[in-house]
Amino acid sequence: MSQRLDRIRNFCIIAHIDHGKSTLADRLIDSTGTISKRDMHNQMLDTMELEQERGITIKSQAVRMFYTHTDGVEYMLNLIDTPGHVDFTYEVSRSLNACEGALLVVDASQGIEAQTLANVYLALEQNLEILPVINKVDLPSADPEAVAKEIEEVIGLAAQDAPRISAKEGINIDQVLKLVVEQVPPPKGDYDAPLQALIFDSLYDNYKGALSFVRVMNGTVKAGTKIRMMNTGKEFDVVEVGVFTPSLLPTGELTAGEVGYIAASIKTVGDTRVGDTITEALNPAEKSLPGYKKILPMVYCGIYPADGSEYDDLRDALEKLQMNDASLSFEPETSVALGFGFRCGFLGLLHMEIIQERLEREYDFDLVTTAPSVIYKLVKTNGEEMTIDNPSNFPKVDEIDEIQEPIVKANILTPPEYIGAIMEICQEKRGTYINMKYIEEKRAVLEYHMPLNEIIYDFFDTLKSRTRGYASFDYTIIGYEPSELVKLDFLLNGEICDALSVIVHREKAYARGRMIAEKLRDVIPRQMFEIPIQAAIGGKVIARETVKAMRKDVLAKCYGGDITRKKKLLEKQKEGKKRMRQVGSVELPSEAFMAVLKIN
Amino acid sequence: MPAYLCALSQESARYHDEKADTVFIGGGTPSYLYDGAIMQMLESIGAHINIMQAKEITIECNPCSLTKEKLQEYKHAGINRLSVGAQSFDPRMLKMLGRSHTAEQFAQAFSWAREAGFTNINFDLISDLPGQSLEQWKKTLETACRFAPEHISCYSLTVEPATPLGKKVQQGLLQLPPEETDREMYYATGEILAKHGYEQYEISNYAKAGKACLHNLNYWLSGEYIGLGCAAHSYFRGVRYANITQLDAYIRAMAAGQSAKIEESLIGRKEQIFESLMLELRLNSGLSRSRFAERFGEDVTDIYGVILEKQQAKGLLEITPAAVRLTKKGRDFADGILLEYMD
Repeated sequence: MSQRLDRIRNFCIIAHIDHGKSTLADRLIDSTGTISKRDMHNQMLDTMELEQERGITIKSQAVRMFYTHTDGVEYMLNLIDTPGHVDFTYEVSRSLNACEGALLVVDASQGIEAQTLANVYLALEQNLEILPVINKVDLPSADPEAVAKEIEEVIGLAAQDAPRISAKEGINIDQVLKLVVEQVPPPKGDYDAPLQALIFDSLYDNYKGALSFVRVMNGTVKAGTKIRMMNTGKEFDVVEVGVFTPSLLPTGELTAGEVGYIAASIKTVGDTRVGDTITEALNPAEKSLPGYKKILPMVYCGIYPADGSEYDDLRDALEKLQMNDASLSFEPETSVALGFGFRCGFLGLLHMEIIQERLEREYDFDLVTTAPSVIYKLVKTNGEEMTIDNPSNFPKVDEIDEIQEPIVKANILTPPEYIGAIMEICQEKRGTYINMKYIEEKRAVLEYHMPLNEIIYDFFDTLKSRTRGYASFDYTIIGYEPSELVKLDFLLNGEICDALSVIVHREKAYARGRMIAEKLRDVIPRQMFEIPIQAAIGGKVIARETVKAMRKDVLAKCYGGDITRKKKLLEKQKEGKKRMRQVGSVELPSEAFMAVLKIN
Repeated sequence: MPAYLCALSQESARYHDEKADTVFIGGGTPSYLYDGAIMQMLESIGAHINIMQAKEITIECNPCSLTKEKLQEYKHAGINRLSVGAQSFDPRMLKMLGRSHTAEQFAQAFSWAREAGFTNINFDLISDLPGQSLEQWKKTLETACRFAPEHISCYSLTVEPATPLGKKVQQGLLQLPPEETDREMYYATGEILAKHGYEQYEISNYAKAGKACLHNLNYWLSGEYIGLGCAAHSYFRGVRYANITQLDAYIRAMAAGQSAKIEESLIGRKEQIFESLMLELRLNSGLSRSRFAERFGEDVTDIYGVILEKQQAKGLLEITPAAVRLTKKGRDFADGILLEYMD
């Protein structure tokens, strides 16, 4: 039994975006001959097109590889890929929990960055053995010695002997495999104990239903086992178990120490939740594995079909997406301005953008999306407590006693010359300075506490542009705090457009109201009458702009040679109009709702 | 005969035995061609297509290329209408537009034209020019009226970004008059020309009684037409098509006996209906309901009743028993109005 466990290594790769995690994964799969060269294509583990485009991993998957070590023994290496973005921290922590070791990949020309740190802390929390690997040594700007030193000083890990590799060029990949065998501890587990399997991810398969990606901690599971999800209570009959190569390969059973998938005719991934424990219904484990958390959305926005008749299709598409994304939530919602749509909840801005893009691209929808908003907690004057995810639902000013907003802890890594600019930005975003450390001469980490609603708009882009891309940041929600917030409304031609309302801090309301009014003035196309735009708080108008009336819309010449061209022009104009929404007496382009955010 | 004229002749052979009610020689500036060219061209085309019984044969001219000789040639060739690109009588404006004629040259050319016996002459005038005031435009109109042509076409300047003028506007070196001024000029045009006996019969076209341009009326009444030459457009046997745009390619294709067409589309009933709105509403007389019903078997209000009434309620058009017509306000928004009739 222990001999079998001794030959297993469960590990993952953690790194900052673009430091080479996926390329290294490709190389490991390649070197161990796990799939034929013919089937190999770049970044195998990033299968979705969208992921490939953005160069990030959204879904994590796992690959079982076999490797014969220098001692002649064949080892089973299970590589679990982890999502790279700050929005998906919970998923990362569960994937880490499925492993005993983590390769920490650091770019030899960039060194440690914010996400590197964030992920290392997560791995340390899971008590993983962390093995530094210095990548991209082929680059002219690579300085492996300096980076090794940085790792030692900042993280406290010995890095002098860390393999110096180039995943892209295939240099020293064998050293990595050796490292995994020699340094990652083998898993522990009891084959005979009741089944306890950690779900670290899931995937909806058209034929097999929702697949649970599991690390079996104790016990065995095979086809025919009746399983129970310990935290949700649901029960299913296992149809098939197997491993990833990276494609699905059924096997007879999965046992303690192993990583693979369970197919049990589960209808949606919502029923196989990341972090939950699978046990045997008829012989259940006493306790579920620790660390399970119900994922809560942090950022909300309204999504409406540009064409009202597509409402049902949109709902179907969201349901389909939810089948493979348990962290996407949505509920029907109506807006006076936009009609019938959905209030959707996401883990963060990236998550939101991805879903929007998938809806538009894979399902071919024309969408109108409102500005993202966070969840506010309020206490009304009558003592009633409310949580609001849609600014339009705010009660009247005089009914509110206290408003609380979510606060995050942000870690910003930067070269020293930008510290001033960053402090300015954070201050601008109502940040509270906590501390600053130099992790090395050329790198400082600033810690700020900031309201989440200041981050979700354009903090990331502003940070990048003011620091010429050198700064990086990571955040976690730390709680709620009371705040002086007000609801900023916008009236078009005298009528409030509910979909434009935003919640802002009282001190910023005037400036924000003015800026948005100006933006609206530029974005709203001229119509046959003049359109007054007003920003208001409560009933009080705080800013005013006007869209001048259009005076003419006619082509002077229309002779024989102009007719075809004119028809084409009209068709184009018609297409443009389709993206308009009639809001009261005014026509707004779909972009107006998001455009109000891009202010800088 | 030069290659281009050969090519035109070759193309016309493909329409052998067709008969034209009107002919329009344009492009380009046909008056730039050498003496005798136009006569040759009409003769060789005329060998295939019956143009000699046409009621109206127009040639577009540039004032500075008109000579007594050319005018005689045109008269003998059977041309009975001239369309002259006057544009403006103000030397500053002419310079800005890059025109090579002066007001004096223009006056001279005009008097020669009358002497040669032309009794149907059109001026093209452009308003809404950079630096032009309403007063200046009114002066242009008055000057034009003093010449007393039979027909005047007035256009608001369209700026093409790829032209020297367009670039200057883009760079902010030249500024167009405000939109209100454009409309004021347009309304002034109608008033002043009406005073002098020119009735507006189309959005940009004004004529003395009985002198509307028949060739153009054909376009607005969805009539068919054959375009010969490179980049020419046609609407023939229910199909709209355009010819090769590049000169050498056109000449080669004609010599090789190949098709001149580069884009074709068969205009089905639905599109014909839309086109009739798009084109006929441009006429002050509007869309004739009886003509529409004859062509399509239904009254236009049966097809578009709701939209028409909505627009009538907005003051953009008026529905009478005989016709659907744009109002004065409707003429300002003629294109926007059309969008609602597309789906």
